[in-house]
Amino acid sequence: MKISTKGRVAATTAFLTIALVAGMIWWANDEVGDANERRRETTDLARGLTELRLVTFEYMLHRHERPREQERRVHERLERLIADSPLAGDAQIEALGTLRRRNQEAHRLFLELAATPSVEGTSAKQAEAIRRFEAQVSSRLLILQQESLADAFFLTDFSTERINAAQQRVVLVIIAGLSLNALIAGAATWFIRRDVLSPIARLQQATREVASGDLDYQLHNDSDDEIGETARNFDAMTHSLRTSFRQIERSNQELAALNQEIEAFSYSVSHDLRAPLRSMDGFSLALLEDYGDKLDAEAKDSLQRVRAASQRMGRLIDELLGLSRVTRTELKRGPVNLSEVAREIAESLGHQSPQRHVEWRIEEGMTVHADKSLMQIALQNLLENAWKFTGKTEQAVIRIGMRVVDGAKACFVADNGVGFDMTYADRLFGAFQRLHHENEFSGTGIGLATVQRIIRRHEGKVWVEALPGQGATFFFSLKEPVP
Amino acid sequence: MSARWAAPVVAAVVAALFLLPRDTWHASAHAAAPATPIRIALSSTPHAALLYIAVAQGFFAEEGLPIAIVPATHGKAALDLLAQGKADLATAAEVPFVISVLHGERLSVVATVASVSSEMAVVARRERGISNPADIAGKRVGVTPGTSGEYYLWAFLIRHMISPDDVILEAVAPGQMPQQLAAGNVDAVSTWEPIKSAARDALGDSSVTFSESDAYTVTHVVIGTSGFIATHAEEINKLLRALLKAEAFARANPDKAQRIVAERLKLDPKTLRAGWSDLTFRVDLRQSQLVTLEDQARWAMARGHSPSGPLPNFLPRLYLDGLLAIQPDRVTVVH
Repeated sequence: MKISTKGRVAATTAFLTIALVAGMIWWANDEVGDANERRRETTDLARGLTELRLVTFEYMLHRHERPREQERRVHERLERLIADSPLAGDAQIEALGTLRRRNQEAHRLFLELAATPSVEGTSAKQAEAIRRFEAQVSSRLLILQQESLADAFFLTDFSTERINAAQQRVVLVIIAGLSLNALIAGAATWFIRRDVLSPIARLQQATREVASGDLDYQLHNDSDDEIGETARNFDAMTHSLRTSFRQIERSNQELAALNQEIEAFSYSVSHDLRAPLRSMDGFSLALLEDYGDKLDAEAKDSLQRVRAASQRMGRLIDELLGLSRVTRTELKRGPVNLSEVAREIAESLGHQSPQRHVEWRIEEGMTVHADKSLMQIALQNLLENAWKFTGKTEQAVIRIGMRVVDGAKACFVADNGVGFDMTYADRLFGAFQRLHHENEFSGTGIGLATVQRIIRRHEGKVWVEALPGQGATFFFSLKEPVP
Repeated sequence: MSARWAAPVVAAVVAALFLLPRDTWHASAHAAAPATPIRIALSSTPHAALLYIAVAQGFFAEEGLPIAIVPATHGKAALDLLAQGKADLATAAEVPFVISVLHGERLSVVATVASVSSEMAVVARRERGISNPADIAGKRVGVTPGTSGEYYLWAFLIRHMISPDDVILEAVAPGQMPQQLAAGNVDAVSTWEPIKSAARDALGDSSVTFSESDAYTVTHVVIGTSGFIATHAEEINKLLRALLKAEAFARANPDKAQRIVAERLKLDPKTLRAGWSDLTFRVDLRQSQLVTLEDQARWAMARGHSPSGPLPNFLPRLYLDGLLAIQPDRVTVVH
């Protein structure tokens, strides 16, 4: 059964229990109300009987018309009360019947008493008989009234007992309801612990195992509820992950082998190309030095061009080797003071071209967690770029600093050089890609490709913002070390 | 336990046994001994039905109360057995109880077991010129002296404003009444069931019966000597509990109850059934009883059944503690 179905069953049971308890309380309350009404009626009966007794005594003492009239009224009232009483139960109906009979007998005896002839004018014997009659009727009357009162009190007691019983029922119902709800709560807690919390804990453990690299961890949950389904999905997921990882591993191995081959190839090519280049440059120089006086100007110029081309190709090969080295070098991360590195590079550039006046603005205290030698190469390329493209700017300013971009720290190298059109920005970090002509700004087009490779090896990213004639700003951010 | 402590401990136990209340010893001895049955003198009338039912249904046994029935022809005879020490308790109408009290006997009522308003009657011979109550004046009426039959006649006469002096009373034993009436030795008899029915049957069509429910409600009670009741409170409580069970049984199973009583009293079931509905079997003690007892005392003194004197206080003669302990709502006596 699904957890949601079980939850609905538990909630419905709890609601039904509450509804049952509420219904029983309502019923018991109705019972109490009814019993209270009966008690009020029986109290009215007892009050009427007490009044009847009082006026009977008054009549016996004084033989006045007023208590006789009152007796009639109370008798009629009692007759109505008895007739209207809806009391149920054998004992109560019997008591009510007895009460009705006694009330009628008592009223008849009262009328007989009222109709007793006077003793005046009778013989002593007759007078004695009359007095005895009166005494007998009076005694009988009082006995009947007293017993009627006892019956009325019995009915009152019964009503009180009914109230007590109903109240006791309410208490019992509440206790039973609370116990039932406690039982349901206990069962629900046990059920949640068994079917929800424990499986979730196993699921958590599984996620921890998988997170720690154990992709073989399996839950094997056979239950048909939501958690069982999640567990099966989890097992399917880890199975997929295992398959994917194996494929990735194979791909990585293949890629690594391929990379190794490419690097070996490019290194070999670069290295092997240097020998003929050196020959070309060397023999061109030999021709110029040894046969310079025999060569005309055009021939010398051609030789110079051969030399320049071979030297440029040499630089290209050097930089390609550098790019290759950047890829192969093992990362050795540690704190790198970029401010200090930048200052050293700036100073070096200043020495190389002392005729240039460039304002360097290097932010202090810039530190990153990275491979120092690679960061030196990256920064060297970026600062050389800035130096180069501010070559035609009268008041060149190069800024190196750090700012927060999209919630992460990013270093930047900004210049106020020639800048470029951002339309071509995506080409910028490709090898041998150039936005300016060789004659305008010299270069191999390898520098920014090297920068991008270094930053990627640090799991960071590099991007640029530029405008033609207003300079360019290169940003790079590195993956923050885990504390 | 070391020997140093053994002697003082044994001495303390022995001393404690000697110092125990004597009642404890008596109770233990009493519990161990076979219980002595309570002897109850029962009138051979349906008024003692609850006691017969309690015996037949084993309610006394259920309560752990051994009972020995001592049969008696009527209530007064049962009370005589009590006076003679041949019974511990007796059932009787209130009249013989009142007379005994007036004679100075220390008796108490344990509980009422039955009451009836229309049972008593005057059965008369029609050919003696008796057709209505007033015709009784000047006639010879048979009564059993000192019984409720005689008191009923007194109450009947008063009810009809006839002077008791205007009738001639003839002492007749209960069992002789039908024959005496049939033989014409008396003009009428004042008696109770089943003698009333027997007397009527003896006369056949020539009988006339005067029943006057307003005159007197006969109440049958369980009576004991005050001394016995005081020393047997627990037994009395058991007796009362058994009687209450019998009352419930009689209410729930009237046919079975009648069969039990008819069998015990060797009565024709039809005869018993005729008067059964008039009987009220209820174990209680009522305030109205005091009024009746006092009225009967006045009558007894007027009729010379006891020496004249001040009206006795009947309140101490009603043993309230038993019913109050078991079912207090059955006691309406102001106390």
